[in-house]
Amino acid sequence: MRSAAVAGLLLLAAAARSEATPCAGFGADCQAQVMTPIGYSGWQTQGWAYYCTGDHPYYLGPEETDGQRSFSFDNSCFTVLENGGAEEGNASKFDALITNWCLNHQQLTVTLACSSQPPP
Amino acid sequence: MTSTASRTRARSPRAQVCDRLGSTAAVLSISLLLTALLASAPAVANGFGDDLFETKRKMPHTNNECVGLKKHECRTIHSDEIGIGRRKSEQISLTCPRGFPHVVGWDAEHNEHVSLVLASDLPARDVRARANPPRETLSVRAHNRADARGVVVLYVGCSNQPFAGSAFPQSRDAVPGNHIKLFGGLPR
Repeated sequence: MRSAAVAGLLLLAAAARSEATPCAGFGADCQAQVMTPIGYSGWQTQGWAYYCTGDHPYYLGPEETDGQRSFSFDNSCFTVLENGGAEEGNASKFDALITNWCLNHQQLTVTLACSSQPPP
Repeated sequence: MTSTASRTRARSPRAQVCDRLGSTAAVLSISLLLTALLASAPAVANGFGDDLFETKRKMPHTNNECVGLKKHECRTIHSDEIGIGRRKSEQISLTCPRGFPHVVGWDAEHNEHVSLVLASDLPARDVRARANPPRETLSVRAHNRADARGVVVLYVGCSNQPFAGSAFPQSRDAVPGNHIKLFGGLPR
């Protein structure tokens, strides 16, 4: 019973992670940049390229194998599949295939972890 | 309650084994029937055989061609409705007008079975504005993935300033409407 409760809490923590700040786990230089909200109709997929801008122009991605995410999003209707291959050659770019699995129109706001320093 | 229990106790061991075998067979039959229904549901429900797409469904224009810009900074231009033949692919291009020559985004209305992919380069970001800039063109490739004609209307956002946004669309697709049909849950 107790282990089930712990597992449940871990699952909740994992689910909530997509909404947590993407800078958690990165250094003090990380800046969370909130992107423009995008509209999706029901059961729709859109591919988007997002960019870190301003004095923190470098994206701290792609997602590492340990699950450290460099982006977050605010709507549980969605899955966001990062396409690291499309980011190669552009240190500012986050590229993703994004699907709204809900049946009605929804909005999604993506937040990126951005740095003032170029990747090593 | 009492009568049922006593009736069970009254039956012979052989009859009880037969009962259990009968129950198992019933459960197996129902499982097989449900499996068969699930497997054949899309074909029965829509008449398209094994086609995944609900070819009558239209993905609406979602007004994303001018995201992040104020109304006076961006104008929307659009194509006519363009037909895409069965399993065909076509490139669609639109050029921004002279007063708003810079491409800043795009969107579309299209059938579910027509996928759209950006075919032109991303607009140059943070280019300094200059007098008489060239009019920019946006191109997308439309792929019809079904054995039914499809249509597309392309919308392009055009600005009087070069693209300086933080997001640009790459593609538009749909979750195939016939991937599940058990509850008739299709957005229209």
